[in-house]
Amino acid sequence: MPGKNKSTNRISIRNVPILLVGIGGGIFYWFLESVIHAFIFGEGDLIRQIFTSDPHEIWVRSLVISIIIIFGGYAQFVINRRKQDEERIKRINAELDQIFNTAADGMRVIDKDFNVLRINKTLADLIGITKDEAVGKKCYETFRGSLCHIADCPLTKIFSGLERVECDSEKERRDCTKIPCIATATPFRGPDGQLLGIVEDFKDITERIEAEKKLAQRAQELARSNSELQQFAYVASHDLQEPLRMVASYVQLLERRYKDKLDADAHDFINYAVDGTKRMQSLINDLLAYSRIGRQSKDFESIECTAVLNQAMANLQAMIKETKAVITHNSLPTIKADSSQLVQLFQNLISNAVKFHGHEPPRIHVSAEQKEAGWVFSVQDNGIGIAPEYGNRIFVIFQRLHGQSEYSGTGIGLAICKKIVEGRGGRIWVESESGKGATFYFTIPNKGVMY
Amino acid sequence: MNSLINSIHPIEILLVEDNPGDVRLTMEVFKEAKIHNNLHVAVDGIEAMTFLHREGKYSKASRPDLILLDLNLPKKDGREVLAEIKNDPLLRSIPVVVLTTSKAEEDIFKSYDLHVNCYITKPVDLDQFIEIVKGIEDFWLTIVKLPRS
Repeated sequence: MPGKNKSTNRISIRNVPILLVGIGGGIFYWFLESVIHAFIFGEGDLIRQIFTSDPHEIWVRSLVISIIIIFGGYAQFVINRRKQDEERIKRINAELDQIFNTAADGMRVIDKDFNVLRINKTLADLIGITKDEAVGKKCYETFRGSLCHIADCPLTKIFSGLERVECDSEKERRDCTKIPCIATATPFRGPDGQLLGIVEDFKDITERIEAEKKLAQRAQELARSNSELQQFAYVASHDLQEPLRMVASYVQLLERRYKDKLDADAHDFINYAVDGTKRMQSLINDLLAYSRIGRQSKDFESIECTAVLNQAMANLQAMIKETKAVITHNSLPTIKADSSQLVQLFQNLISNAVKFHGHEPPRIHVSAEQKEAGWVFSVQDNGIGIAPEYGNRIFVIFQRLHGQSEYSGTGIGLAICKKIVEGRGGRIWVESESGKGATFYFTIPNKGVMY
Repeated sequence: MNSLINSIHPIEILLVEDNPGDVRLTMEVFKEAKIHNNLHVAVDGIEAMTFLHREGKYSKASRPDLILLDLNLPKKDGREVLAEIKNDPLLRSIPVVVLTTSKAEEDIFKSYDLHVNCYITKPVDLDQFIEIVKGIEDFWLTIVKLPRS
């Protein structure tokens, strides 16, 4: 730029210290005065004039030299001030320019005739042009968008008096590819507050839109997989049971109709067949019950755990009576949960404790302890216990540690407990030794997840 | 006691069921019924509606006194059949008993929402099924008074 060299020259002149200028100017003035006296007024030779002893002459010359030095000093002071100001302005300009150009958002300044006054590097790069190509052109020539030339144009809105307009806008790059943007327009005012134009800010939201699309796609996939699962659950509840019912019913019909013609073996075989179908049916029903947990996305309600425990015990009344089980509990808290799931949780744990009792009648104790993150519940029994190595296996669906002849069941109760607890953000585990009873623990966090 | 018992006309029952095994089983059990009945069978929803509207080969069909309806049927679903019956002023007075394998809450809710008269899940056990059919027979054909057209 031509202006740059000029300013460098000026600075080099100004850098000469004022003392030297003053002394130089003084010597020059002294010499000039001597020349004038010697040759114009004819007052003797030049050497005598230079080393004059006339006090009046020395006074006048010294006064003039002092004035030169004082004014020179003042001039230097003013020049220095201006130099500092200019440098400060230059520095501020450079800083603002840097901020303007490195801003994450694309920005440009537009005058009242829609001409681009300034554009930052971010926006120029986003459009795919150089800054010089954009400056001086109409705003819609270099960065056309979905809102150009319509009433919704943010610039028109600012010119009509709004202080800020923010909107979604789809802009077009030089290569005609589209950029989804959030465009923000604010007035660009002069020092007196008069409207000079508009500052436009563009936030490229391509990534956000992409992420939203991906998220929506994932949600759709999830919804599909969920509906497939529900379909599966329905198939399990209906279509799988129908053939099962046919087998069981017709085997029984055979027995009914041909009772007298069958021998003892045949009756045995029929019993096995019917028993098999019934067990198959309970497996299907349990699987269905398991798959249904968590599907009811009810809002959690405040529940008194004592009431829940009483309900669970009422549901197990026959079993408790039969085994003479004694169930005790400490004071239990009120927590936020799904009440039917909580009843099922207690019911499964207690029925488990009752079922796997030892020689003595089952004694079961339920308690709860408050921790910082939530409640830790425990269900302690005096039953047959579980060898520590099976501590995790028992929570896996359809995993059983005993044969059907010892203890009946499908092996789903604890898997359901685990699903309920984990669905509530908690954890379930067992501490036990073979023959020494077992204590099941589960946590119910105040909020979020608790381990 | 219901006057139907003394009536000389047999009770007309329409069984809408696609599974031949179930049809036969139901027929076998109804054979042992105390009440003289005519069990008609439609194997899908379309056939059921044709029967009820007395169209085509069913132009001479009699109006059933009771409909036993399975939910999962080919061509036209049991839920659609139920909705059509209950929306038809001529048919909606016929009691409809849903007799299905499904225990799904949504099916039970949906059926009652469509004004089914009762919902019964078929048990695996034959003795229980016999009990249920006898129950249907006792309740709907003996205890309850039905409109006779």
